[in-house]
Formats: sequence, structure tokens, C-alpha cells
Amino acid sequence: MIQYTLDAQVLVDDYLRQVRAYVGASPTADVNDVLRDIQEHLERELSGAAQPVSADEVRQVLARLGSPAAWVSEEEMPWWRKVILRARRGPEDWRLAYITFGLVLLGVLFGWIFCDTYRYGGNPVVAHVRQYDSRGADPAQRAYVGEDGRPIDQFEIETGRQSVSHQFNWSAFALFVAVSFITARAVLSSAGTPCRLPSGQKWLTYPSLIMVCTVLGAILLGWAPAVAGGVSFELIEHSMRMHGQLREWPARPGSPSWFQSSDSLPTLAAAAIGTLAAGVWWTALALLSRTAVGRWTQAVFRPFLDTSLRKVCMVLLIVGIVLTVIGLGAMMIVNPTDAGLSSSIR
Amino acid sequence: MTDGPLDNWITQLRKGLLDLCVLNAIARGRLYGYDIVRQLRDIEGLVISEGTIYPILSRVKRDGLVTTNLEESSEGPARKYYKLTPAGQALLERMNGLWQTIVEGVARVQSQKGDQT
Repeated sequence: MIQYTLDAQVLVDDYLRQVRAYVGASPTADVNDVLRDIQEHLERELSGAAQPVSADEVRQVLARLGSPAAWVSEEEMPWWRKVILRARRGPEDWRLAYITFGLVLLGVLFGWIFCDTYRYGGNPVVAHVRQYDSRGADPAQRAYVGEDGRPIDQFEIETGRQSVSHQFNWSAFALFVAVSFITARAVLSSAGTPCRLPSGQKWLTYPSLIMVCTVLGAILLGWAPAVAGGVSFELIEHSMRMHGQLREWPARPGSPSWFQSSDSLPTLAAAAIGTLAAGVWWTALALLSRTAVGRWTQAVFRPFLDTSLRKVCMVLLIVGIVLTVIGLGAMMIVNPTDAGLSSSIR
Repeated sequence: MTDGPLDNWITQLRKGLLDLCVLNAIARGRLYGYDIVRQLRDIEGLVISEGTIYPILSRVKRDGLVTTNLEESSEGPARKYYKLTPAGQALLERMNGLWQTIVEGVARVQSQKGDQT
């Protein structure tokens, strides 16, 4: 039995893997037969060499054997074997890259195949329901209901015919993209840090990375302003309604006239608080970039922050400070504590 | 001018000739794969990569033209010996006959061309 050095063993294993891939794709040859013959060939060729056999000696024998790609003609393969063969060629990260892109395509395909179908109409209108806007003001729109309880749209009301609407199944798409993101991360892990992927692999892996990182980025940057703005909007609107202050907003003297409308106060106040929250949160994120938070963020958003974390954090810091100042200024003008929050406390 | 047409012609020629040579090598006696490769690699221009022989051996075995049997070897792992089947023998005789006819025909055409010049 031939003993190989570690490097030589890697060469032999990789060569046998290629034999398996190429000869296995041929309908005329038995891959196990060929593998056995190749192993026997190596044993015979290297039997006189000093043990363990070095990578150089193995390389010479493999060079004489030639590339398994040339042994089998692609012409004799069915088209689907050719596609599989191409996907199996090359190093592991290429296969993963193909799988990554394939999963995104499958997500699009499944999104269309399993689209949500809504049927409207085909039944007489038996009721209409008035929907009120959130402040309980005048009816904003009417929703019509058929006798079978299904909603009826304007198309049916006007034509008496049923209309069908297909909506892309985002849940199925998101599931495939999430799996694709994991395989894309596996590709990245083999590409080193900073990421050095060939451009071909970038095209195959970046679509899912961009999609997932965009969503994660929006959540990371947007949760604070969204929560602060949403909560403050609800609190102010609720307290103003409870205390009958909807039309008695005590805006600061000298405020612009369009600020004087009490209807816009909750929105303006929420925008001011949201802006302030965004500014504070983004500034904090930027300042924490040198701690474990920065390393964690960089790891999650690979490869996009591999080399640009400092630049991005600098921009985030500047924007955060600007938003903090704008948010504070807006709060002084809008004065939400006087208007809503203080009334709720009272 | 490139050697594209020549390369293509050589590739096609080799493809057919390798089958003929492999069967002829086995016909000379019971051989195992490595021995067949050693015999054929000495024919200049025929074998570019030695590994090409092994898928051919597998194919002719699958086609029932040769049989194999494993035998223990004192020099290493068990060896797989190849032997022509009667069907392989019959096919080889026809292939050799056809090859002889082609060689003679080509030689005749070449000599006629020489006479004309």
C-alpha cells in the first residue's frame, strides 16, 4: 500500500474526485471500474518511489494520466448530465455558488407557482361596510360584501363579473432566499477575509446576500425610529383624543401656520421623536463600532463591511449627529409633551 | 494558419484507433489495466493521456467484449485482469480486417497520387 504525504494525498483525492465527476457522467463507462484501475495505476507507477510519496512525484504521474475531463466526450451525455457535470466541476465553492443562485431562482419560481389567488365577485352585493379612518372621522371608504361573505371589488360592482387577482407568494420566496443566504455564507467562508471571490461567483452569490443584508440593515437601522415614532404617535393621539385636545393643540407661539392644525400633530410629533431616536441610535451604533458590536455587525453583513466598516461608521456618525440635532429642533417646535404626553400624564 | 483541422482529425482518428489497439493488446494475452496502458503509451502519437485507456476498458467490458477477474498479487493489491470474450474476439477479427482494408486502400490512393505527380 502506497503511503502519501499530506499534500500528495490531497492531490490524489482531488484527482479521484474529478474521475468520479467526469466518468460518472458518462453513460458508457462504469466509474467504480475506472476508479479501481486508476488506483492500481498509481500503486504500480509509484511502487518504486520513496515512502511517503511526495506531491511532486504524484503530480508527475497524474500529469501523464491526464485530465479526466478529456476522457469522456460530452457529446455522448444527455443534456441534463452536462448541466449537472458543469455544476459539479471545479472547487467546492463554485458548486455552492451555483446552488446559491439556483435557490434564488427556485424562490422566484415557487413564488409564482404557489401565488396567493384572490377571487372577487360572482355574487350580489348584500351589504356594504363603512370603514372609518383611525381618528373616527368621516368614512374613508366603503367595503362591499357579497352574499357568500367574500369581499367585492369595484370591478364586480361595475361589471357583475368575478375578478381574480394573483399575488406573488413572498413567504415561499423568502424561505428560499433564507436558505440561499446560508449557502452564500458558506461560499464566503471559503473566500477568506477580506472576501476575494472571483467575479463569476459574486454574480452567483451576491443576489441573496444583498437581499438579506438589505432587510437586516433596514431592521438594524430602522427599529429604533420605527418603535419610538410609532409608540409616540399612538400615545399622543390617544391622549389628545381622551382629553378633547384634537382641536386645541397648544403650539408654541410663532410656529408655522401649517403646524397649527391639531390633526397633523401626532404625525409631526412622531416624526420628530422618530428622527431623534434614529439620530441617537445611529450615533450610538457608530460609536460602538470599535467594540464587539462592530465585529458582530461586520460578521453579519459580510462581505459588504469587510473593508468599509470604518467609512460606513463615520458616515453613520455624521448622519446620526445631524438627525439628533434635527430631531431635537423639531421637538422644540412641535412640542409634543405639552400637547399629548403631558395631557396623558395629567 | 492554426492546427485546428489537424487537431480535430487526430482526435477523431485516435478515438477509433484506441478501441482497436486496446482490444488487440488484450488479444495478445491476459493483461491487467496498467500493462495495457504501458503497451499502448509506447505507440507514438496514439496515447496523449494514459488515463484515456481506462474508460475504454470499462466500456468494452460493459459491451461484453472483455471479462475481468481479480487475482491476488504479491506486489500489492489484487489486480484486475482483462480477457477477450468470444464476442470480443469475433469483433476484433472484423475490426482488424476492416482496418487492413482501409490501410491498403489509403496506401493505394497515396501511391496513385505519387504516380500523378
